[in-house]
Amino acid sequence: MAVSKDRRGDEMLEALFQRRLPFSGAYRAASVEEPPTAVDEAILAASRLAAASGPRQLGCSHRRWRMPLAAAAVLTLAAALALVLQDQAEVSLTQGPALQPPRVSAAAKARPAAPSGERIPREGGSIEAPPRTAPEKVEAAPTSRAPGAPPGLRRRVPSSAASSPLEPPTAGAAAERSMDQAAGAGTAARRPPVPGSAPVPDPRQWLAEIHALVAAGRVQEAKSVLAEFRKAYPDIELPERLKPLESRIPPR
Amino acid sequence: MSAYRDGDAGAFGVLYARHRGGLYRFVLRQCGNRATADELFQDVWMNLIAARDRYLPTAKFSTYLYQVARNRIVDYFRARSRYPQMAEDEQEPVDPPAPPANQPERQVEAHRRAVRLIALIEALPFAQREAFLLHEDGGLTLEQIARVTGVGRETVKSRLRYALSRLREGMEEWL
Repeated sequence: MAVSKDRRGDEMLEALFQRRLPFSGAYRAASVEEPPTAVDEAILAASRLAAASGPRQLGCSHRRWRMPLAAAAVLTLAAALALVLQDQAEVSLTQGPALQPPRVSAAAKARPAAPSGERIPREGGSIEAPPRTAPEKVEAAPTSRAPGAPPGLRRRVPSSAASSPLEPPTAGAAAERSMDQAAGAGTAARRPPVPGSAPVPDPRQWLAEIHALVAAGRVQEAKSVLAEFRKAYPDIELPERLKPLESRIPPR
Repeated sequence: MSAYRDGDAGAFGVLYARHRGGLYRFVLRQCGNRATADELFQDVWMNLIAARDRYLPTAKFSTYLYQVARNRIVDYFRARSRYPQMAEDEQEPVDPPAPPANQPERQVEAHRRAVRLIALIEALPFAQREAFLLHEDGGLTLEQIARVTGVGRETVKSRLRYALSRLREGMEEWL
């Protein structure tokens, strides 16, 4: 019984798809409803309107994405640039400090001119906080002992950093060069008083060493080196990161 | 549709003329009244126009069109918080065209037969009616119906068998 019912169902199905089912033809004959003319007109008008503005709609769609896309690209570039600059600064500190020129205080500006040939901080410059440096990298760099630095602290040989291929020209490096040029030309600023006749290290290197000590957690050593630095350069403004260290040094 | 998407306004007119009747009847039989059918039918075409930029010819256009229509109908029933199958008892019967006055007896008989058939179709469960109408109004094959309704080919066959069986029983005296 069930088999014959299934067979009849299959036959009807076959007849349906061959368009020879009696009530299928009857349905097509009876089913003659059409959409109202108003609906036809509305749809066709909308299609024409859309076709007329088709390219603009496509453009609008693209424009919707343009601003967020541009913003995302700018943010990505900015983040990448920041990372690259940070990496470069770390590399340069590893191989040697690349401090930006220190700011000369108003008092220093007011002092009489220094003798020719003395290296001085460039006017209008400022010492910015050097980036953090891994202590082991400082240790690994080609070193020479810094005068006034505590035992164990090494610093780089300046010429090796200047010729390092890892250090691309940056704003800081350019400022350093201009400072060196200004020092070589002998500007009118006065060199800070130096006790004794021993050569005084470059303030930028000194600050970098102090910063490296702080980064290594050797705060006491950093304080003592900073005290030495202050004796040699009382007027140079410290980088922001080192200012708290100075405030902890008892006034002399 | 690809031509229309690419800016050929006339291509839409051709498509519309080809599918308007079948689609309208499909929507009308599924939703049960003319006012709703008009609204849904217009929505389907408007959606098609709005989405023309995203149209990809991955299937026959009629399959795509009836899929859009079916989705719209299902959304309509969902929005009214009732499953389409539940709507069968409540749906308002569509008035068949009135027989012309003074027509011969044979024509009157044909008209009565048509009214009976349409009433039987409208009384079918939603899924069976859908399968039947997709074939009758949309001209879709088994595979296309399966694709539009999102079920397997055998399920479509089963639905059609049940639908045809019911229609045959209901129309026995007319056959």
